[in-house]
Amino acid sequence: MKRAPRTYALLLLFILVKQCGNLSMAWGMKHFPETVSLHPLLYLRAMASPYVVLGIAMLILSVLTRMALLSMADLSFILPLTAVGYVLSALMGRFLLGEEVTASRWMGVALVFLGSLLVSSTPQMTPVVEETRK
Amino acid sequence: MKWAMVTLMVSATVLSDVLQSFEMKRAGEQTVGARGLVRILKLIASRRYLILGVVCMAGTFFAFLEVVQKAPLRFVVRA
Repeated sequence: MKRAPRTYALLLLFILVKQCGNLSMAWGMKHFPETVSLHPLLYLRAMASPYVVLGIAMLILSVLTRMALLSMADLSFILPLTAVGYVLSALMGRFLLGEEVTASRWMGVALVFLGSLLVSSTPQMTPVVEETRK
Repeated sequence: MKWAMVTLMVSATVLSDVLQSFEMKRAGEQTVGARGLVRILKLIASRRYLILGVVCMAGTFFAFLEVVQKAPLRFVVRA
């Protein structure tokens, strides 16, 4: 596979894993019977929830995937493109968690998507210029 | 105090991103198969800038927890 399609495949994997991780964490925490404060014991009890454990595992995987992405492309290319995840977050929030997403929120999400499209039209990696010393 | 924590959170995030990008580019192209993930974990353990990047990520997380107690979530997430 060439570099650009591989970068986009990895980017897609990163966005999906991260959003599913966030969703799993949100689901697990929302169904946790007690309000979690900064008390470490409550955090440990919340972590016993299988959804929270799954969420944490997915978020760790997403961090490693992001590191692999940063080895293939510039930070200034990857960071705006990963914002496409906000689109997915809004869709998941609306249709899976039943959140109310107002028209102005959808407009903001559309602007994020347009910004990502603009960034994706640029080269993904700064070419390395070899300095020749004579 | 709230703004100090927000500044800390943003600075730690930016520093973490820059350190990770710098070190991962030096390490060369990585994959995310089972072996690739193990290789990335080994990289994190062996490269000091990556370790510092992970420490910064942890700093961001704890600063986030601190700010979220004192300010509304929508403020913290936007910051």
